[in-house]
Amino acid sequence: MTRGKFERLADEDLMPLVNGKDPDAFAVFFDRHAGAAYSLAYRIVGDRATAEEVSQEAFLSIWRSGARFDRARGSVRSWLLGVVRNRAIDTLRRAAGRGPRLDADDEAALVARPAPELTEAEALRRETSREVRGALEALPREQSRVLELAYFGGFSQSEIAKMLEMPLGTVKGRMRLGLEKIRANLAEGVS
Amino acid sequence: VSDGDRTHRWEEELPAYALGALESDQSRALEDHLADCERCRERLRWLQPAVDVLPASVEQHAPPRALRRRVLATVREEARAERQERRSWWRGERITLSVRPALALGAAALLVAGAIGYGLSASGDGEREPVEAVVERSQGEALLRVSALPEPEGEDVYQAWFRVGNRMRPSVTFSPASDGSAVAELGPPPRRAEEVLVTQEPPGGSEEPSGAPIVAEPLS
Repeated sequence: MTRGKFERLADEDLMPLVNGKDPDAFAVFFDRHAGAAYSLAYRIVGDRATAEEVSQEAFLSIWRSGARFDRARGSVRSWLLGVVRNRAIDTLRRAAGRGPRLDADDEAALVARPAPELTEAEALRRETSREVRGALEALPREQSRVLELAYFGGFSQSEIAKMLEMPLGTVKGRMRLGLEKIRANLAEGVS
Repeated sequence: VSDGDRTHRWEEELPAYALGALESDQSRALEDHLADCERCRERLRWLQPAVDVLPASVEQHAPPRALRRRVLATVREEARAERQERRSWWRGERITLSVRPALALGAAALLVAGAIGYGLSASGDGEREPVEAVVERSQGEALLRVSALPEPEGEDVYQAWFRVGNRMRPSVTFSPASDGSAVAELGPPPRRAEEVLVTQEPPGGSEEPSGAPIVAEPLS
């Protein structure tokens, strides 16, 4: 199959070919998601060289592990970015001597996550970076702060409670309210 | 503590879980609970998209070109090495081939027998005649003649294959006569077929070879 044909395939149909160790299919997969992967890694680790290293490890781990992607569990992009996030957080925690990572392995999020509804997946595809940034910025600062510390900082909710010197219950509440607001904004985007 | 209280307790942990901000032991306990609680699964399913959009909220940067070069060069090199390894295996370039016990004939070793492909050589309980194979081509069809084939194990049969590059195309199955000889009409070889191989397979044959070949004869 030529590269042009691979490019016309949806991610979900491309992954079995990546799984079959087709380097051209993998190149299309890489080109589609490298920007998002590198940007996320850079946001988490904060320097270009480490972000590059993390992105490289994430892509090669997918290539070597046979891309154990399960389409019933969500989008390919969310899965890949989950792998990138785990590796970036790992790197960050190791560098800071913060002990073991929170997720067991690259597959952890995928194994546990339930399949999103189709309408939601479609809504996510339509989201632009700016709109999502807007959704985060629209949150009260105390809510966006705990979400950022958790997702981009790799801190557990207990660590966040200690760091911000507030009760654990408050951190839980802010996480819940923050996610609920983003989720509600997404739901509006669907309708 | 009622079931409702327990569920409520876990529900409180779902946002942190979705964000990857639960400690490992708590995550595992929550996963156990999720397996049995549709209400929490439903709630997590609803929350998850809010987490999935967080990566899109970061400032987007073009990935460095060197990253692409390195990753794709590694991938191509590994794919090439893997193809090469598969091809070597089928060409018998490895001295030790993994064979199914059924084919091993006790302590028999599998040897590469040069121009006649592979031969089986017995040891311990006496010499065994080497397997010999010839592929003839007539009017576009291939005919395989083999001698000294051992009786297949149990219900197994022999199956012929055409090797095209590193792919194996299944051909007919056959069983040897009591003297170990067999003639199999393989039909027209696929274009660019390079070799005919024979493996032992379960009754009815297989879509892919399940063991090492005991015959590998080049197609002239």
